[in-house]
Amino acid sequence: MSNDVRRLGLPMQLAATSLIVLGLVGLARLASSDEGARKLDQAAEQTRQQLQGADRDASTAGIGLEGRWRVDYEDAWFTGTLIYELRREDTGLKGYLIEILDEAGRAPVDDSLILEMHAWNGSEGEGLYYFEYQGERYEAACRLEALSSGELRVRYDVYGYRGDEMWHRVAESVR
Amino acid sequence: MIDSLTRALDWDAVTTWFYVLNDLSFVYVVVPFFVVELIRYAFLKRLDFDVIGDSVANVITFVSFVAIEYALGLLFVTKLYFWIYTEISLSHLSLNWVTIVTCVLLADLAYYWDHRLMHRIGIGWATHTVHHSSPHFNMSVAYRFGPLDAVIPLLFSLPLVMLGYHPILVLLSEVFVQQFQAILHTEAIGKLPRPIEFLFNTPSHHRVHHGSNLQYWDKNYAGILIIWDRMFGTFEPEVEQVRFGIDRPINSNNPLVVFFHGLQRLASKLVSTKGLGNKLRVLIKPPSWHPSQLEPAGSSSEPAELRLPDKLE
Repeated sequence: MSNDVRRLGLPMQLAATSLIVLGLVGLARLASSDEGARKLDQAAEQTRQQLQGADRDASTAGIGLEGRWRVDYEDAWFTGTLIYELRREDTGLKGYLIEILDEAGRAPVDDSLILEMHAWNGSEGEGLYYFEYQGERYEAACRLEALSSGELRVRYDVYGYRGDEMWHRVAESVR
Repeated sequence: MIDSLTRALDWDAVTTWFYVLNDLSFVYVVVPFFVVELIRYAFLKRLDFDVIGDSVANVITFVSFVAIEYALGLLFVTKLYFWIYTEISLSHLSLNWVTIVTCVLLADLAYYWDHRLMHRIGIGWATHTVHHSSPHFNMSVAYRFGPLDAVIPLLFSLPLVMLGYHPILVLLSEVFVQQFQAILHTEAIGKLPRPIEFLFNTPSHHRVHHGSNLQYWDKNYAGILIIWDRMFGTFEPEVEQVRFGIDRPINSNNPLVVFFHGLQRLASKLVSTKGLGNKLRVLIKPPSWHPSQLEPAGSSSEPAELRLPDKLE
């Protein structure tokens, strides 16, 4: 095939390109699953952090999430404060509920898992947020954003309910 | 069969394959082949200071390009790509043979279009002309880059991330396409068997792309598959002996001249072009565009030779 073949007009070329893209992406979607994608995101996390670490080295140091965080709630099913603790473990950064401060007073709880971080670049990241509602345990994908070294914004969307929480770091002396 | 194509692959294994294909190929293909080319130049009595100086300039432009790419690419990938991937992309895709192959094919198609754009708009050509400005054609020319050569490709790969491909897989696929195309920069290999020449980009097709012969201008943009050029009417076979380089040679192996001559020529053209609208057109119209093309025939005061289509003007 040489140049004497009639050339498609640019709109037709772009339309053909779109069709090829649709076909290839369609094929990839047929061969993919949510579970597979989640596994990839988790597996690629270290590579991502290496890249982001390299980027951070060139800009600013990130904020570490480890430590205790206080969250105040005032809604229909709970009014009070929960204390979470984020810990670095072999399997990644995880958050646990360690105390409940409700109208009845301070009560320690059984270290139940509430957060599993999948990505954190020093200022923002994502993970899975676990919570209990009316005796049922739920999980929701969440986004975390550090507003400062002491303030963390956590957002999630579960069955159409958009959660938007502000977490405050608990100072060492308050513990 | 289908099971093996869709079975999840190990991330570390996949990144290792790409490391072997993308990074290590520099050691086991590019450098040894360049040595062979130098021996070939010597055998043909073409090994002179110009070839050596040109190759040294190529390496220096590559180092400069990598420094820019490292800062810019890292910023793009770690910030923009991942922001798009987590915030506005379609649902994420798995890692298996189908998604890897489709990602490489899409990266190749994106490469075709970004490469074509680099040739067909003034600002694109101002940086990409560096790659084409060598009068020689060997492995070192593959690494002769302009200052902004990384910008347009990064923009063209964003849609792949929006479609749900993992940003690092997109990046690895892009580098794979680039590296495949890099090893085509040689005069030492003639034409390959017809099925290969029909489907794939080859040294012959890529020599045409680097030709300054008029019929070879803006042809064979492909990275891996030449079928994109065949489909979109930009294919040209190698028939006439290729004259490498650009139509306004830079006649210099000074790395600074090599690296910046495209931007310098674009800046001169912008300064000499009157009117903000025309200045913008200089940036986004084809490199041969000149404001006199807006005027009725014969009304321009420019000498005729300045109005000739000139890839560098």
